[in-house]
Amino acid sequence: MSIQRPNLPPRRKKLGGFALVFVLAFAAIVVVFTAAAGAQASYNLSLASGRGQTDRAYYAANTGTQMILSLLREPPVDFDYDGDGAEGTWLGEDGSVYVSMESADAEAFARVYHNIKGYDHAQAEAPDGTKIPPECFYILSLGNLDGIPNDGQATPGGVQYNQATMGSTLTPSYPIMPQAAFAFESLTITGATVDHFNSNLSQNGGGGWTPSSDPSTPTSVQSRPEASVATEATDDASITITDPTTKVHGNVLLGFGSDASELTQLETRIKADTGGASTPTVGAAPQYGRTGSGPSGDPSQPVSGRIDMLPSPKIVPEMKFHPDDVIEVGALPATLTEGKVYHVTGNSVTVGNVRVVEDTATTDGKVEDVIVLVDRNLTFQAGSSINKHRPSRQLKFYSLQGGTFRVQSGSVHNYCLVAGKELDVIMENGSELWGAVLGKTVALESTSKLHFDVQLRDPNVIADIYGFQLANSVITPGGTIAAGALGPSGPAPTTTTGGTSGGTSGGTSSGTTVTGGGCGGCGGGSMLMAAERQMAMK
Amino acid sequence: MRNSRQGHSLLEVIVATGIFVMVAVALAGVWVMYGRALAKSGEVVAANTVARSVTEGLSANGWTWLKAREGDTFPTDLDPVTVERVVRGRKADITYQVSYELTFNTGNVLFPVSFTNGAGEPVTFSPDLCNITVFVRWRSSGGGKATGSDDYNSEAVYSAYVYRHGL
Repeated sequence: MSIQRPNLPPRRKKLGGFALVFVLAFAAIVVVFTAAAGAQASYNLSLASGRGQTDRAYYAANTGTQMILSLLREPPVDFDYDGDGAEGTWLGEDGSVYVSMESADAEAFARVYHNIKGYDHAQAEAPDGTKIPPECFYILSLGNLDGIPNDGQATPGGVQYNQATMGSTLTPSYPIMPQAAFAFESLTITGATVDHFNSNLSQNGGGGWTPSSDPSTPTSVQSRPEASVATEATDDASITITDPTTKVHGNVLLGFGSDASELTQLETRIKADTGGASTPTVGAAPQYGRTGSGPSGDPSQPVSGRIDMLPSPKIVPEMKFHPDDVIEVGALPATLTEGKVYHVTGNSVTVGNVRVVEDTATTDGKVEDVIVLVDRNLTFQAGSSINKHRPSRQLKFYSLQGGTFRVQSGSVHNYCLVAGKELDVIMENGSELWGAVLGKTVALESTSKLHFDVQLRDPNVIADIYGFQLANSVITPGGTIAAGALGPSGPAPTTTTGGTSGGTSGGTSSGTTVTGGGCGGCGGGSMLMAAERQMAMK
Repeated sequence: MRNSRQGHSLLEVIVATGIFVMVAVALAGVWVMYGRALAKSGEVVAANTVARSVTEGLSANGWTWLKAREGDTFPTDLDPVTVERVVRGRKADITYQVSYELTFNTGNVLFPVSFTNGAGEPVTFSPDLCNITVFVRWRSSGGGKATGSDDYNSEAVYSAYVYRHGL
């Protein structure tokens, strides 16, 4: 019996190449591990550099916000911002800005929106969906790195990287006073004069301005109904205007949401109480706008303008300041340093002579406004000289807890604003105030004169006068708004998606040097800045 | 016949060893590169943190402080920032050279393109604008040529405009 060897393949063939296979397998594993580690290292590096780029984009977005704030508070001269052949204000025609930041290889797009009813283009919601509070501005800015501009110098969406979108709300630090007299509850005018002047014009030989009720004032100025009076109340009984000698060179406004019947009753009552004079008509009263805008009124009538209602509820800011920014004093000094906030302690503050002076540390030729906070009562003495012959906006009084503000008879050189939500304002016979007043109640007695400075309702300087400040900001790394949505004023942009084609035309940008495309109307905006951009790119 | 069944041929071993050595050598270089990339990541993160911190710090000083620096010579060097680190058990601190530059919009220098309105008045921007630029330079372990005579081969630059009433 023999045992035959099975017919197996040679053993050598089975083992052959094992080392090679083993080495190759091991090498493959090492390669995979290496690749994984490489990917991780690469990811870490991109994460690290990405963070730096996001930071730089953030500062670019912040730059846009700061630029808009500067343009709001110090508007440039009128210019043909929208390229329509006629000059206009930056805020009215444009509202956007573009900045090229070469050192950081970044660029900033920004545009401002507002919800100040009565001004052009007021809107309650920004393109990013943010609700804009009443009487507030909202800035939308976008910081962009490594954008690739097209032939039109626009940066279309889709080729932008490392965007940071910033939304910033600006709120006023003092009540906006577009009316000469505003009362939350009741307004009484008995034989008083409410007229207007313009502190932006030259004074008469340095002796003050000429109000609209002065006979020497041109009829065209007298007929402008720019010194309006208003209440927050919607009942016609909240406004009492009597005496045929009363002069209101403006409109009479009831609170927001008043019934038409209340307006009609008010019209009838004013007509009767002022001796049967011709009546102001109801409706369509222009309430905001630059000097001279709107239809003319009849200055021969007790009320030269119209009867209407406020376009929105009145907003009064909280008037809270950082303690470090407030100077506490026991009595108001005769000279107030520009740009400061004073708090005069005590229940009653009596003011005789006071003026705002320039801070010697910052002599820039411009006198910054001063805010004086009083706890309760405020009195302007007879023979007073309060910021005499200076723009009213420079000196703003505010009563924190309410009380009585009284302008005594014979107190005529008062150039300031006075406000307080719980304040009872009384202008005695023969007193005068150049500026505006706001209180719970306002009573203008016979022969008193309230001269409203029309600069107080000029939208081009409103942000500066009322100290609009950054209230809060929201940052969105990665960007949600296309640069094209941040074009000039006009119809609200519709595209809110970032990183796409932009797609808005930027409202009124037609005719500007940069239009269309994703940037749309950053054009206009940036007509100033776009030119700079073109230069920078050459 | 027995040896041929149980062992590997010399050729097989030589080829396998050769492949392994080639792969190992190739990957060694890659691993070194990765090591540098990781080290550089840390450097970049630290540099950006320093740059952001200095930018915020300068803004936080307020307008009055910034304005008081207007006549200074820029860029102004700050104290170097040293970040301690250990690489493979060895102390390998890295030092950042930090400087900043302030440019105020006096005479509209930040926006050199000028326009005028119909009255011939120039369209200018507020002089109360300031461009803060922060430079952070360092000698990166990741290699690279020095950018200047100061032997630094990496740089992070931050730029921000601030407005007097926006601070």
